[in-house]
Amino acid sequence: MAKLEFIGVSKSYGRNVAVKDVDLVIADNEFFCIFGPPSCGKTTLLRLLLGLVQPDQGEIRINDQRVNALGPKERNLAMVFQNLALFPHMTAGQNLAFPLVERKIDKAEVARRVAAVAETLRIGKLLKKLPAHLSGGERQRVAIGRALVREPAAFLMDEPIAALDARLREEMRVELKRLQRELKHTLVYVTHDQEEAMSIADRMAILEGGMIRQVGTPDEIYNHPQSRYVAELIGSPPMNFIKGTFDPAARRFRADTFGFETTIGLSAPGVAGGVTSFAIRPEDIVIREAADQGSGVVAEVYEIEPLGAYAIVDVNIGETILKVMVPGQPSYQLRQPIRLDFPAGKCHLFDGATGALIAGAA
Amino acid sequence: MTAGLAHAGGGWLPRPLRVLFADEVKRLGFLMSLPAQLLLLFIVVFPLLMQIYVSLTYWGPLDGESWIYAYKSLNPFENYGELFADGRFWASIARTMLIVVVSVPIEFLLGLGLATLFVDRFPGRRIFYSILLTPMMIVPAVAGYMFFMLFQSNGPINDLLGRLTGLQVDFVWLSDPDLAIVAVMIADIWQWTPLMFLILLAGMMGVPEDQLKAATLLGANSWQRFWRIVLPKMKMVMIIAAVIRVVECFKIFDLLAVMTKGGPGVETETLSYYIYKLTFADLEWAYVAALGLFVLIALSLLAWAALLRLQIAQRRAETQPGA
Amino acid sequence: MAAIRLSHLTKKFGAFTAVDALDLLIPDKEFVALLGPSGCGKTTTMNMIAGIEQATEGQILFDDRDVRRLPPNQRDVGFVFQNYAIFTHMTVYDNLAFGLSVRKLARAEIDRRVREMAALMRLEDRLEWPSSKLSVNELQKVAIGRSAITEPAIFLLDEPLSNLDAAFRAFMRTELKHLQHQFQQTMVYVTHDQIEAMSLADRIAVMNLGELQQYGTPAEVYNRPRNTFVANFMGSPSMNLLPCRLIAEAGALCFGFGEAGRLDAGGDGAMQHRARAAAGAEVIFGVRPEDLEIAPPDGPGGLKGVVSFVEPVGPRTIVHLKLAEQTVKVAKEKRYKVSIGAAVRVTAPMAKCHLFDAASGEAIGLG
Repeated sequence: MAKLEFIGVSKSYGRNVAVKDVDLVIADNEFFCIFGPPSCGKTTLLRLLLGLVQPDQGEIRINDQRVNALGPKERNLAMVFQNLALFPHMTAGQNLAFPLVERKIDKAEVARRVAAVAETLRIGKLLKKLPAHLSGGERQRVAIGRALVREPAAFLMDEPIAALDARLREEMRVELKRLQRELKHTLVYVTHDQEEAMSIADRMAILEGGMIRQVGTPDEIYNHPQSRYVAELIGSPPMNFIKGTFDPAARRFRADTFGFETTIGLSAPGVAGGVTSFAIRPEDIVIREAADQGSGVVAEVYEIEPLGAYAIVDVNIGETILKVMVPGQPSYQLRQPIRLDFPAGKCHLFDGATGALIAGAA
Repeated sequence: MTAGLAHAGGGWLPRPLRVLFADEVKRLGFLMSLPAQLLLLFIVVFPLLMQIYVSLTYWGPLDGESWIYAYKSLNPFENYGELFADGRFWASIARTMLIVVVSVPIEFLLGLGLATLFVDRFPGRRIFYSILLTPMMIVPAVAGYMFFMLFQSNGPINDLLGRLTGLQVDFVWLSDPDLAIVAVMIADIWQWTPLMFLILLAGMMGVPEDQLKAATLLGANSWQRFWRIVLPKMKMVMIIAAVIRVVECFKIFDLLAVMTKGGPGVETETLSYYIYKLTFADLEWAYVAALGLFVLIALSLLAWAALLRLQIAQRRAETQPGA
Repeated sequence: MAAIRLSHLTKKFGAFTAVDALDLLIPDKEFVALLGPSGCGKTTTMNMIAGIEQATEGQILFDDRDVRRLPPNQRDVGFVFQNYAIFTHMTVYDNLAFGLSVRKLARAEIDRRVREMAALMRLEDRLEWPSSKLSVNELQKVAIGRSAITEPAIFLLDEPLSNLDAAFRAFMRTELKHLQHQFQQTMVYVTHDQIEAMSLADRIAVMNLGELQQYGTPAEVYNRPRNTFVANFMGSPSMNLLPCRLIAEAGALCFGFGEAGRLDAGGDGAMQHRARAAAGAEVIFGVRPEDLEIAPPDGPGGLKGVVSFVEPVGPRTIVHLKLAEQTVKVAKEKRYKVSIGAAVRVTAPMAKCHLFDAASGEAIGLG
């Protein structure tokens, strides 16, 4: 039950700028992901929220109240760390009860709250076990439970499931999402895994070098990246980029290394032309027979990566390798010529120098 | 405590300290280490100043006056002049150098060889390891006494040599002007090879195993692995081991004191032993002070030159592409 | 160039059996992935092929040559370590040249081949760099180039992509496959990532707990898993494995999923055949998320369910459905619109479904 806000927040450590001019509103009841490469400032944002570090500039608000001067305890936020930090000498139950016992809450109330949390997290049977005897996923639940039992205003999680193996991660993220939905808590979640962020978040923020590059729903971020940086960072297999030049007067883009030209629908007039990158997601490229007439360019199959449910076809076109995602298990031959179509509504155009979006997908 | 300083802005402080005090963390660090710094100053700087003072006089314990009144026999540089003409002094330095130049490389090679044997596991490794390290644990004076006994003309070493060669061997090791120093060096090697071995083994264990495996899989035999991977990776450890032993060897004293007392005559007198004799037999305290200072300065210059070379080498490495 | 034949290969560490009587034939010039979760014995197997680890029992043949007693430096095997094991005290050039210089080749020859390899790996402008200053991506290229330069008959790679960032990993996957086509070497690749194995390998050996689970082409392993372990391990999201009841009614067979409803096995002959083979046994019904169809709730057939969660994962949308007792995942295209809580019906084309014995986990009626 908390709305969290950053207003013009900056924080440096010596000469290192960790966070710069961050304005961000995380709505009540929202599952919010902070995503970025290592050392982009995501952990610093969490620490600022928690009150572990003070901003050099700007304001941090919880429920419209300035909390800059409040210490971590007074902010009533719960944090789940990547390394969990469970007490190894206490049973799961004692770990859960710890924050309450520390606050001198009476025994009956502690028991009631621990039982309630154990019920929600489905860890009732584990309460008597020591952390060493729990599996990775179970330990994760206990750690979350320990944060939950305090009934905090909001949850902050720093890569809480990064240490688990792939299958378990998939399960845990569904679980986390279910929990957040049932408990109706604000949850701020830091991760460097783009698929995790996409699958779990209501909204997400993309960071680069301490600055926010884009905020939006996973759908907006994936389908309407506002910069080349965001477009490159999100999506696997990654987005394809084709270098070329753009003539704003004629609204024509022309590829540098092979014969490809297309008209770009501009939403806003008056953009500079010159060196640009034409971009399209692997699943949006359409493959047709090379003999087909009409639109598109002819390319050559370079490699095929069958992945079962779909395949990635790497195609070579004028020394540029493009990745095309095709559903099912297609049977192309190496070096086979094929025709590629770039559907107009699904292409993006980014400025070659700044990486800013010139024209986006429909 | 720190708050007062912060508010005063430290304007009364000299500039380097003002810079220091501008940073909260550095200021705290400085203040916390201040007592230790002062203590260090007292321990190091005060005796040094005292030594410089005394070295400029003829003061000695027989004057019957405190060193504070040494200025009464002030005689600047006379001691230093004498130093350059002192043949016994230069001979002792040369002898010390000889021990360093012979013993340390032998210890180094033996240590390296042993380390190579011990880097792999084999049955009984721990026991051999413990036995190998014992000489290092023995008090040097006791080790000296052991070798004093071993090198007697009717002692076990002559006996053994006799049995091996079938000849009558009666070297008078410790009284022979040439053999005495050999005996001392043998004792030194016996006692300090284990230390070399220990340091080099630690260094060798630190060579990443996966890189050794990679070299093997690229076709390198054990000799090639040793030359191309192990040795280059141990360069730093080797330098450290050598420096430790050179410095230690330069101070060799205990073995001599028990085995030869610098004799026969002055034939095994090292720098340390000469200083000892000057101090306690000749009571030339002012001269010793000058001699000590001279050695200190000479060694400092050498160390400084070595450091400078290292720095230059390092800078050269850093200016390579990719820095 | 060599085929590798492992027969009855076993490795024990004390009482623990890391690899248990493994039989595997890796044909000449093929790219084979050893795939499995950590601790399945895949790395131990590879180490035995390289000779870093001694086999407890069994044979390792390169073509017809028994190499079990041959020391690793004489096996002519290229090995790329997971952490690359680059010689940190050498330049990139010396790293690349190492394998040739220990073979005492002429300087000019070494120089020519190092430069050739550097060009191939796009490391020309890094040759004089100390290797300690390289990025992870570059280290990886040096590691591959250093092994490839000696042109070994067999190339072994131990999770070479696991330390790379996602974008470079996708790029290297393609490059590696392309390189293999160029080098024409027998390649054995250890990984725990089924996507890597699927996309790179000619054949995949799926391992678990020291035992071989299945060995076949990616398509075989994906489309015809031999048991529930393989079915579950291959594919992301993994196959839906649903315990169910076989019901025979008036000559027709169907699968009962409790309150959620039934799936009729009738339409597909093969499935009929398989279901009959399973008669009486407890069975597990398997179907891949991309093979399931979502339909409006009021049609005939299929299983009733409620949408419990929708995961947009970029190019695809994963829809989680809650059936009466089970949950299933359905993979749909991106921007697939369905709201949480919506009632739907899910159908499965029988030709793409699988049947496993609930007790043994073995596939039923697989040819």
